Amino acid sequence: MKVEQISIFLENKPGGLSSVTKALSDAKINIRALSLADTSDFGILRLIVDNVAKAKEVLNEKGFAVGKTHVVAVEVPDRPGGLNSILELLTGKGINVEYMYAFVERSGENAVIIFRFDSTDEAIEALKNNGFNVLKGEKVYGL
Amino acid sequence: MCFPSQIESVLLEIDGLEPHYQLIVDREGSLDTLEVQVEVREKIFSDEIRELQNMEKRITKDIKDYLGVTAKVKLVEPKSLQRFEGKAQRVIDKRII
Repeated sequence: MKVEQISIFLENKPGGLSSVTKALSDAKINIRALSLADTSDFGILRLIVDNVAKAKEVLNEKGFAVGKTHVVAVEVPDRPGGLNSILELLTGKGINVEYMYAFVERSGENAVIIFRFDSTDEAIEALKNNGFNVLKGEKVYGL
Repeated sequence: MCFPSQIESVLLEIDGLEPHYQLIVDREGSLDTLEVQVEVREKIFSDEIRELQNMEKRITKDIKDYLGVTAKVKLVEPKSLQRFEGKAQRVIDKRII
């Protein structure tokens, strides 16, 4: 029920991001979802890709510091209150969201929200028990 | 001030850091400033901003505690700092005196 996400350390300078996208493009790796967290000096690029192992390999070859983390992908109907219903549940359980990002599925009916929790297993358990659709990794890589 | 080798010993005390660093000395007004650039290797890299900022703070604090010097720590990409053969040129002095 966990999704593998890769993260890349980037300095805050022109061309940093494009050197990552160039490497992925050359290796024919498709980006499914992404978020870029930034500070004044550096950024962390977080990516869900269709081929995690290959993406990590080509980025390592280019000399990037690449991390692999487990995140949770939850599907919610794309309508007002979708995200809120998840957060209310998690707040009630005392589960903290470290960061999150979202995208809308191609069909346009559902949104997929990617979460990084402080306690991943507990969060998955709570979401499943309350009827939320937690997506499998393979489903997200191939969306 | 202090010797570059003293900064190096502080960095090497921190788990996961490698001895690839560069010191940049500059001047703001009448004060000298020190920036310590440290390469981020996968051992210390995290997907959370907070963790990396904690690492910056830890390095700043250790330099202050052990050497009494206030430095600005900047994390840089792996292998982005110049490599040296023989004697390393660790310090870049940008001061115009």
